[in-house]
Amino acid sequence: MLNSLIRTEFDANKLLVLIWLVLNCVFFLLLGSNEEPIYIYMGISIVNFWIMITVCALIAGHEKRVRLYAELPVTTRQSFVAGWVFVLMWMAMQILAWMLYGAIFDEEFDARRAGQVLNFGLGSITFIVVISIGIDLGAFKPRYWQWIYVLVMAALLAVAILNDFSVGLLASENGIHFYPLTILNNLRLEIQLSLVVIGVLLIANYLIFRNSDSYLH
Amino acid sequence: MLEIEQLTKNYRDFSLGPVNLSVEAGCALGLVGANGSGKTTLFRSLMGTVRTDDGKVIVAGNEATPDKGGWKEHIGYVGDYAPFFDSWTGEKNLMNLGRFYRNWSMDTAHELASRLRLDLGKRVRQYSTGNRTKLAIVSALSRKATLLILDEPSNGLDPVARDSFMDILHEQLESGEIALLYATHHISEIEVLADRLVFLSDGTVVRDVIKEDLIEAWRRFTFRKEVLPENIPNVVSQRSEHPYHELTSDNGKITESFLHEQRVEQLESSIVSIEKIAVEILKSSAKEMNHA
Repeated sequence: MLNSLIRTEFDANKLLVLIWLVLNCVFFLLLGSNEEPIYIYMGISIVNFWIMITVCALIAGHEKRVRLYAELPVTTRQSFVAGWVFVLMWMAMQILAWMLYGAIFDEEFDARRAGQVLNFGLGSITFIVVISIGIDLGAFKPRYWQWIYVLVMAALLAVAILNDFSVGLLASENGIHFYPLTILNNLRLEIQLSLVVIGVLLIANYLIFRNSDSYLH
Repeated sequence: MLEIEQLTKNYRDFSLGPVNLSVEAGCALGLVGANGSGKTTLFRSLMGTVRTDDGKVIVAGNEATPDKGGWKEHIGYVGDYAPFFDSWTGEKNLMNLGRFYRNWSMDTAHELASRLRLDLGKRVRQYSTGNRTKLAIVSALSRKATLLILDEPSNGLDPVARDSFMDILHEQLESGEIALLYATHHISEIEVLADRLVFLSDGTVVRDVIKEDLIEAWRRFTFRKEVLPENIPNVVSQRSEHPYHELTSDNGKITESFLHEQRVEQLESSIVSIEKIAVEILKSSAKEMNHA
């Protein structure tokens, strides 16, 4: 059943993947004509921004699929996993694509830069999971949890900005920075921590989804 | 086929249940209720799209829980919203659904679509509301489910399609292996299909009766009498145009016997339509709720 669900996810989102592919190809071609590394990061930001917007739309539009899945002989866990397998595979492809761009067009591209790209991608995934939790909390009882969550997230963001943490999408001239974890100044630790944070957030998201009052937002 | 025990769902301004129902194979149960009485909430609770606060649902011997999906394989559901992929054709949507059901038959799907005059080659976004409903019906019946849960399934259907749909449902029920749960505001459909009626009012089951028993018990009386006798038993509604009177009784035998005792003149009795019975039951339930 899980395989059928994942197949359904891919079938349903073929168009999004196709647009993603075209955007990446355009980005790839544009990149070839520019030597300035900043274009790489600008391009990465644009593609990443587009991905996050579409993924957010995907999550927000998840209700329709949830309604369908609610009728299908599948479990809540299978329905949750299928949705995330698609998003994570898509993001993994994007991270690989960025590394490919970096390897081809960035002369200074090395293991550290690859790690930064990975960290950047993981930050994007974290952002998507955070939004997904916010959306799923809307169907959680009592309803005010969603507002508490939004306020806490806004407060965290404000604290990060006030303390000059790098939380933006765009990199600095020293490389790609995204996500407050860059304050650790230890890339390996940041990546490990990002993976743990994503894992914990996904588990939290599942528990919220599993215990939703209604699967219809 | 379906066992519902103490099913409860609480919202801030509405509570469903506790509902206890048992539907056997071969039974066609019509769920009757006013708008907001809890029919859709009950169906959504059965399908697991809303989380119930208490109670148990057993479908074909399998307990319905979010951690198990197998029990839904036995259910064909047409709800208030048909969840199909708009950019896919009807055919592709059905083919995709077919992956999830062991007993799915595309031949049945094609046959039903043809009988309902549904073009499966069109994209769902091009479908009218009625055609979306038709697709939902085809989807619900092509999986060879043993329990059909149909919530206002004929909404948006044109008269010809509705007629074909009724024929299809009759054929499905003829086998005696299918249980049907049917909610609609078109009482005429329930009158034709159902053999048992459950009345839902303000989230509570107020009556659970065999249709034939209702038809047998309820009677309309017309008679002539200068002064309408007082305390006529089992009268649910009355209308007078001196010296003629018209009464509707939920127990015709008792009322008739009383009227004979009162020596009313020109007494005539007739059968009451299910539609009229349903309206009277719902009206009296609403009154009782208001008093309570």
